[in-house]
Amino acid sequence: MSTKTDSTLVRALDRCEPLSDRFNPILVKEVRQFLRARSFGWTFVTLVVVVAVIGALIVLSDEPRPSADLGASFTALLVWMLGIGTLVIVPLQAYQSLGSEWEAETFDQLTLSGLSPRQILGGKWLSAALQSLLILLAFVPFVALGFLMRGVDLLALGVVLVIILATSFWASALALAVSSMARARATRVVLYVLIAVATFMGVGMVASFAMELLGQPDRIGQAGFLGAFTTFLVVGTVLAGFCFEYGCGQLAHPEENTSTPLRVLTLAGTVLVLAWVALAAWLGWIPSRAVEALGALTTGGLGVLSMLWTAERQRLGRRVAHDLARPGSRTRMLPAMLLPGGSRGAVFSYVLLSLGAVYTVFGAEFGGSFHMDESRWLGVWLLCYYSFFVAMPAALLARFCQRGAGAWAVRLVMVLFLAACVVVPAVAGLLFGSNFLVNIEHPLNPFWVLPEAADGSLSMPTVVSVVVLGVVGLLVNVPRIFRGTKEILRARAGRFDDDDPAVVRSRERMLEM
Amino acid sequence: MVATTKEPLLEVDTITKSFGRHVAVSQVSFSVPAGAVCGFIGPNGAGKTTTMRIAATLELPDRGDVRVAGRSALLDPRGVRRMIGFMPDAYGTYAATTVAEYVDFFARAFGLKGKERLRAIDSVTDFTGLRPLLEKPISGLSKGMKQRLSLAKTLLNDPSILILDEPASGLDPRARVELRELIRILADQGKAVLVSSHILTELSEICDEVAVIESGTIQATGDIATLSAGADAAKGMQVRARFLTDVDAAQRFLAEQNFVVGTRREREGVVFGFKGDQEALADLLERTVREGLRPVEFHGERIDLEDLFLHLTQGKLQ
Ligand SMILES: Nc1ncnc2c1ncn2[C@@H]1O[C@H](COP(=O)(O)OP(=O)(O)O)[C@@H](O)[C@H]1O
Ligand SMILES: [Mg+2]
Repeated sequence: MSTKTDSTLVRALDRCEPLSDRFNPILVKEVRQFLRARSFGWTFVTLVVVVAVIGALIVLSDEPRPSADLGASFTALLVWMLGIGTLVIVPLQAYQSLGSEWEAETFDQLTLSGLSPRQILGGKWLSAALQSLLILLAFVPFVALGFLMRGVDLLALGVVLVIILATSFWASALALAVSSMARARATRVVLYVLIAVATFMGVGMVASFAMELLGQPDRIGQAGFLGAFTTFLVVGTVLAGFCFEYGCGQLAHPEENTSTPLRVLTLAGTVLVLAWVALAAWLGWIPSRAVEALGALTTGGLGVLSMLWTAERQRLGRRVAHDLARPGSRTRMLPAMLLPGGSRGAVFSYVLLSLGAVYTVFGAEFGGSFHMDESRWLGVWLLCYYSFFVAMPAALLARFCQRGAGAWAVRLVMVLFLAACVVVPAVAGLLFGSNFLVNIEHPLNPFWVLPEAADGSLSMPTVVSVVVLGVVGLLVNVPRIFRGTKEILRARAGRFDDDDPAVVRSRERMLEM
Repeated sequence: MVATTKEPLLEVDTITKSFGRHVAVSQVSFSVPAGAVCGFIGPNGAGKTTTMRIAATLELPDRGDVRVAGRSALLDPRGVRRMIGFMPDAYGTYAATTVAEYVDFFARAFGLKGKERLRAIDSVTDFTGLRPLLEKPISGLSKGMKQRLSLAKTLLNDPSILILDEPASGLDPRARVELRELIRILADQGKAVLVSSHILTELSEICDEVAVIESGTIQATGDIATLSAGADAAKGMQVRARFLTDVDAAQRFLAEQNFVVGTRREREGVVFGFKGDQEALADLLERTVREGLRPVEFHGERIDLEDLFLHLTQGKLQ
């Protein structure tokens, strides 16, 4: 079954037995599996051989070229191969590795073994990270060779390698999150192809950026680079953390409260990103205008993510309700907006986006250059649009959010609603002969309003209309926010609306324990 | 040692579960005390697996709940998972994994560390007799050995409640006997064991009690003796008689006697239901002889397990 070589590897691993207790069990299992399975070895060998062969061809090609050119094209080859290995193959392998737990019907056993979703997904993530690291290590001799051929700046090369490694970790987290969402075979295949395409495009982007950087290594020293680079790392890491936590939620027991951790993480991530941007501006690493832009971007991103919480099932889970009633439980200490349920999700999103909006208004001050341009209100318009395009449909369609599929349908409706709001007035414009409407230049079109606002050329009527949209969205949500808060108060007081006598008996038994 | 307490360790409390329009399990309730083996019997598609998966926190009931040592599967799934061992009917294994690695992985997953882990692995592989097979790849194991491996994995964290879904299906007779012995030992250690089967006789020797399910509803619960007695009273016993003389005459005579219901010809004999007691049956035999019929076989049989099962379920197919 196993050849000599890999059994020695496995045996070597067994020698670290006492140490292995510290590691995540999934990681130990995956490492054992990929040492034994051929696929990883083949990928590894193929990549190295391809680099060696093409590298040799480049070096030996009789076309006379300056040495600097040679080093650069060799490094380009390295970046591509490294990118394909760590950014495409490793994430796809992580995607499959989680999927195989369902296909081989081993996932239930993992669940029953008491491994938490975080341990399961974390093990998979770590093992993907380990594979990326191994690939990177295998390339070190080639990288050294490329460097010796000259024409390559060592610092730039280091930055490129860090970017490749970081994006590889993020891509694996994304692949795992996507993998956690679908169990049906057909869907999984489609998603697999999508991830393959997306990661391949990612390699293209990373490679072209890398080439630019390697071509002009002095840009690393320029103002702004450090700020952009570190902000990129911070934002990417926060997003990857979000993906990871989302994936964990997908693997959890259906009565488990998966919403609160995701909301806490989002809040913490937002604060971290905004604080980092402010600090970078204060240090002079990024221009103060960039603070405003990043604040608005963050607010917009949060608006999109808010589709998740705003369209959640309205009711508290029975498990959460039980937890709320238990004296001394941690859930009891949480503010209502962090508890699961669409209405509380709406409150959370309003708070989060307001934070982003306020930050955008005052952001430029961190760079020490306060200005009164209209662009600083971008965050506020985003908040209004969230209220109208996300929170309002969610409130009107709340009763369709009972099940996961229904909630996704509602999220789709939000997108369609936005599209309709952009297009329908244009059609009306055709009928009534209004040029503004035909050119889709109206307040219901955020894709026109937001760039205008960034330019600081919004008209007063437009501003008023956008604010009205926001207020309408908020008003539509008021009743359900009221009900959602009441539900929390009742649950805290130990009063449940559960009509299931068996659950009531369980709750009494559990409270006695 | 049989546990002294009769407090139920596993309580299934009016669970209902539908898949789309199809009601797989409806209002199912029963309980299993410590130290008892409860057979969960019903035809294919009756809802056994669904019930067991709900008890194992792998599926969420639409209504109702399952409690394991007082912990609710709904409100404290993690607590329940620590207490139970669930052996599914179909289970997957990892490719290119040996028995030792498989058991070791789950021992780690159960959070066992260092010496404790090695001890647990030794103990379960000894118990299931897997010790000599440790270095074998799982793909090369026989069905019986795979069942043992699954059982070994299930026992790693020493659960107080065992839920075994059709563990005997597909096993050869010897493996089946060995499995029954293992189950009995586990129950004698004080564990509550719920074991399902679509064949009653597979389990009758080791079960202290049974819960019979059909079409998602419980038809009967209790120990086998009580259930058989109840079925006897309802349905009576069945008598087989064979005569040297004219069978038609015998059938006509029997049909007129007290307590006799539904006579029919079967091969050379007559089979009839009899609702009287043993005394009445002896009288009937005497009268038959006096009548000049010459019985060579006259034999009342108590309802057997197969009949009990047929009696309890209506044989509705799903
Ligand atoms: N995941 C599922 N989706 C749809 N129907 C299911 C699912 N699981 C079980 N069923 C249906 O529920 C019924 C009970 O199934 P099951 O509990 O597996 O029965 P048993 O284990 O007694 O053979 C069957 O009719 C089966 O088709
Ligand atoms: Mg079954």
